[in-house]
Amino acid sequence: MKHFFLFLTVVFVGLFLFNLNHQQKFTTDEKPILRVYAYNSFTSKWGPGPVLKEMFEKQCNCRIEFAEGSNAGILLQKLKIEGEGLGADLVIGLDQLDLPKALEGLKWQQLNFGKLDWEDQIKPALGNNYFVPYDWGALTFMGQKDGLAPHRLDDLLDPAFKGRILIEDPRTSSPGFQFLHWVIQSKGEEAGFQFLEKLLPQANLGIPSWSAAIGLFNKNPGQIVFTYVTSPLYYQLEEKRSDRVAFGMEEALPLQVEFLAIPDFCRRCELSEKFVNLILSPEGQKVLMHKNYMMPVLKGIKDETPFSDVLKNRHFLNFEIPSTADVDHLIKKWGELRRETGS
Amino acid sequence: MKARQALAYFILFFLLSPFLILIWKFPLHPHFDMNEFLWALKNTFIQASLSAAGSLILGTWAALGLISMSPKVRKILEVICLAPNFLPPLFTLLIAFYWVDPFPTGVIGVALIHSMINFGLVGVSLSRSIETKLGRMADLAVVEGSTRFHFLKKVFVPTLKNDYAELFLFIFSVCFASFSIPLIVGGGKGTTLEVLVYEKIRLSMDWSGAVIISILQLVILAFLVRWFVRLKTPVGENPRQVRWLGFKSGAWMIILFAILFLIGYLDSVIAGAQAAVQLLDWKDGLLKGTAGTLFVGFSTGGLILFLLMSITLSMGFPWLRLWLKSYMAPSTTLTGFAFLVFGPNEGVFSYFKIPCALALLFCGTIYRMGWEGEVQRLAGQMATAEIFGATPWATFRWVLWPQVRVRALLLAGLAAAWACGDFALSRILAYNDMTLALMTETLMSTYRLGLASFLSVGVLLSALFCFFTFWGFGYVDRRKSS
Repeated sequence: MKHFFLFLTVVFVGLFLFNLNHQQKFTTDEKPILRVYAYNSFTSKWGPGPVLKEMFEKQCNCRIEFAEGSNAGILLQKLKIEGEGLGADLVIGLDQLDLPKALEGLKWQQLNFGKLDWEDQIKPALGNNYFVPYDWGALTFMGQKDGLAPHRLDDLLDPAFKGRILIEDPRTSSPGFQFLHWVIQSKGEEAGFQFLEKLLPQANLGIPSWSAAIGLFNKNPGQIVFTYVTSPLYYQLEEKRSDRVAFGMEEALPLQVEFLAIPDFCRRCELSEKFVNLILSPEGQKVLMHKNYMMPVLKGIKDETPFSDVLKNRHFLNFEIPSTADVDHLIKKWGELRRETGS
Repeated sequence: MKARQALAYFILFFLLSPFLILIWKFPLHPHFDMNEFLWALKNTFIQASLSAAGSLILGTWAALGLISMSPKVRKILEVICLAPNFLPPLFTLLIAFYWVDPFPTGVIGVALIHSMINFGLVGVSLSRSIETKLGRMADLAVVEGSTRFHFLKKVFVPTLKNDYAELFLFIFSVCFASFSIPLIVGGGKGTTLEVLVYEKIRLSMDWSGAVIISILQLVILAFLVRWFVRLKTPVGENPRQVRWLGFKSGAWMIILFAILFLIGYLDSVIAGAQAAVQLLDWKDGLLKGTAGTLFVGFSTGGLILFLLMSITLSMGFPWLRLWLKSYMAPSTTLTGFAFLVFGPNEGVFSYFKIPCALALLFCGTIYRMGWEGEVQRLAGQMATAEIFGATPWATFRWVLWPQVRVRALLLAGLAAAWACGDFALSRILAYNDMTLALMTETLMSTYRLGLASFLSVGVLLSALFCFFTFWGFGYVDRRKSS
């Protein structure tokens, strides 16, 4: 049996040294480290993070270190717990629903990027001094080109859609809350919740995340899924298939804007600002557009790219940041509705 | 005695540490929505009861199928039965969605998935109980000319009723604490206590509410176990084959399940394999991910081995035995954040924190998966050794270890395999995609479900490697000593 413990020790030490060595390969140099908190699809190999990092490291004589969270909620919690101690320099990936929460218990540096040539839809999002938009998207339903197609919210109540609608859970997913907010903004609170009551037996409204919803849709493309208007572009450009389409709706579509911000306790504040400048440069915006499949916040970036047609003939809701009280109120009412209907 | 007492208090403190850390860091406040809690508690009870009942019904059928087969075929079927316990639950979910369309959300959906995951475990465990506890009587029944139905009615059910009760409690407690499945397929009726804890943290950052719910959850399960603990399960004898009692249909059910499972899984894997060439650019990351996965797997397995041995050495304290029987780990999110707020996080610390947190999460389940029986079996011998003045080390070296090593390494291997597939807890404590499971989850969040399924084969292989390393050493050692 001593062989087993010897084996276990050797494996343990070997793997530990391997991982340690892998980390130290990057930490032995004397360059300053810019610590960026972001969600994992931003920092992943296929996300925009590694490309932006490479571009920035070439010019800054510094090193970027990403710290990941699975979503903005978890990211904010991590930041509150350890951000100051570890030295968080920049936070990327908050959307408009996270901003009120981000202001509770955390201080942020004032930023001013007003002189850039912002897209019209983004201008209302520039009203605060701390959070800078870096990409945005509109949300709608995606499905098969020759499949069932809703044209207005009420179409979702058609029996033909029964069991074929995938929508993220508003309690745990930002697109899910966007859907809830969209319904309420389009129909008013009372009529909106009446509509949702009818929709509940029709649709799967409990999917915890956008990725789970897309996963379910991929397994069964006969369904429709609530996602970004740019989602079909991913299938078109990466998988060379053009059978998926983002449906136009009579109602104005909801907008999701993603923000970045520099915490007040940043250690490399100057470097953070430079990295923000890169993200907001035309090169940085192109990377975000192609890797994140989101729209650039600056004018002229998407011209003559497949992204330029995506938003044509679509109209959008005005951008607004709901207060924490509004979000809590809608979520509470949503919870009560689900309890009552038991679906 | 002092060393054992210290060990007992260490185990108690370790298992309670997430609660203690969070209460210290985020003081409890009196605002607590009792109606919401009671509603979620009702949902949790219903889904856990249905899941346990479903697992027991299917598990009984599987057990009768297993005992009807030859030992060789049976071994293969047992591996199939236990396979869903190795895979991350999300894959079982996607396979279920592949076959059942539209999939029923709510309590029924949750119970269906839980039954799919757990029936095999019940089947394997029950088939062992049948052979060790009914073997002799079955031989006698054959000689006396009893029919199978008569035997099942008059002997099977009365003899195994306490085994059923214990298995029900085990599956119930596992499903009571299940998180990802109720979150995905739960719907309104399916909002369980674990989901409520997640919502408290994710939505309202209400740490106090989350901790209170977790503590109440622990207390409720403790009361339940206190009630069940009165049952006395008869101790088994040497196993005897009882093939005449079996139903071949049970074996066919397992084979059908394996085929459906494989087709559902391989469909995504094959789709992902077509794009797998993209992974070649990620060689460095994959290598690091594999090393990270194995590190987390082996460390968690090693820690579980240490905990099991410590538990066995401290079994002179009945309060610890009762405590462990009723212990339920706090939610994954709570445990993750408790370890995050405790101590430094930079550099290599996450490599130590993740296995510790996973060992804490798995300890209760592993203990109830058969370790308790081992402990009971050895209690007398340990007491005798103590009376004769044996030191804890001598007791461990000469009495305990030779008898428990095979089972201990098997359970440690199982924990190691589970650890390889974890991404929920690792995502909170890790700073990058340091394991294959985290990479898989990241791929899923960037549309690449096919590649994620393909990479999940790596997770599965790592899990099997860890499991068979632990199990294999136990097996070889036993062969050498016999």
